[in-house]
Amino acid sequence: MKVLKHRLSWLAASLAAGVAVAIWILPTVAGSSGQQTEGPPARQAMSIFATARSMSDALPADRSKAAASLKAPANASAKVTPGQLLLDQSRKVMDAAGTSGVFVVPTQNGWVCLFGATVGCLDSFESITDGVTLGYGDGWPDSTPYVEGFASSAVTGVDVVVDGVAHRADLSDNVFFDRLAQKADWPESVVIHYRNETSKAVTIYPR
Amino acid sequence: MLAQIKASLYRMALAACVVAFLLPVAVAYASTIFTYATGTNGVHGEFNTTGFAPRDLNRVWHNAGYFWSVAYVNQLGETYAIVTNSANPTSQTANTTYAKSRCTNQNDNSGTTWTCQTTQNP
Repeated sequence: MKVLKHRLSWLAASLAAGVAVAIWILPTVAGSSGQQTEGPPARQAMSIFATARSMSDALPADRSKAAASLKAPANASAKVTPGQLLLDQSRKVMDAAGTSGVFVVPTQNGWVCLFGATVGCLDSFESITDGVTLGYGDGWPDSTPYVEGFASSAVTGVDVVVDGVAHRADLSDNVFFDRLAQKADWPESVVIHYRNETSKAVTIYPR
Repeated sequence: MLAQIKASLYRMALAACVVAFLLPVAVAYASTIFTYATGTNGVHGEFNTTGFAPRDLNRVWHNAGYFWSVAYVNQLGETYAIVTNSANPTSQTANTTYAKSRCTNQNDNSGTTWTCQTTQNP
């Protein structure tokens, strides 16, 4: 019994040492602390964060992995460092095909991160041209291509052009999203419509 | 006979200790995010991990407002899991079994340092 206890203590000590090394590895290689960025923060420009928060605004569990790993590299400049996510302030923007919804989450540095088909953050609407960020992908592994992004308050609509035919993306609370119908589809461009009744076409990079 | 049993019990205990030490380290290492390319500017630059491995993540941190793409590349040289974004980071969070990770600078001439990261040892 004494021998068994002795062995268990060695086993526990080995496990503790392994956990200690693991804890040392994680922040050393991947971690970083947030820094303040310059310019008006995106969070201030998004009125959705002034609305009351409900249960449905919580980021779903299937996004927790992406949220947990969202740390900029050590020594990264403020221009690429969103900072720690404020998960208790997330908001659901819209339902979206092929995902559990489109969500926005502010950060300690005033950035806002969009959790749609993928994850991307914005420091300030002044950082972007054409009033939008533009994200798109093939929807791998089990969905169809998509187009998504942030849109400033100057944007009134985003059309997605596929095979020469334009259709309107969903736009709500400074976020737009569109899921294409077929796996083989690929958007050629988006046309951004502005409050001053102008519009601009932005070409999409080929697949 | 008793000595032999005692010796093998000690060997088993030693092996259990080694496993107990290595398991959390291996888990941390496997889920750790590595940088496989970093720099400034270099529009149209394409950067790959040197080897193939299971991947949980592929992303590039960059100045918001400039376009980057990330993708996985299989052993046939085919690209898939393509994401292009001007938000930061441009990221692919889907798992793949065995691939190189690739990041491509579409138009980032901001002068801000960009960093391409993936999981598993490049």
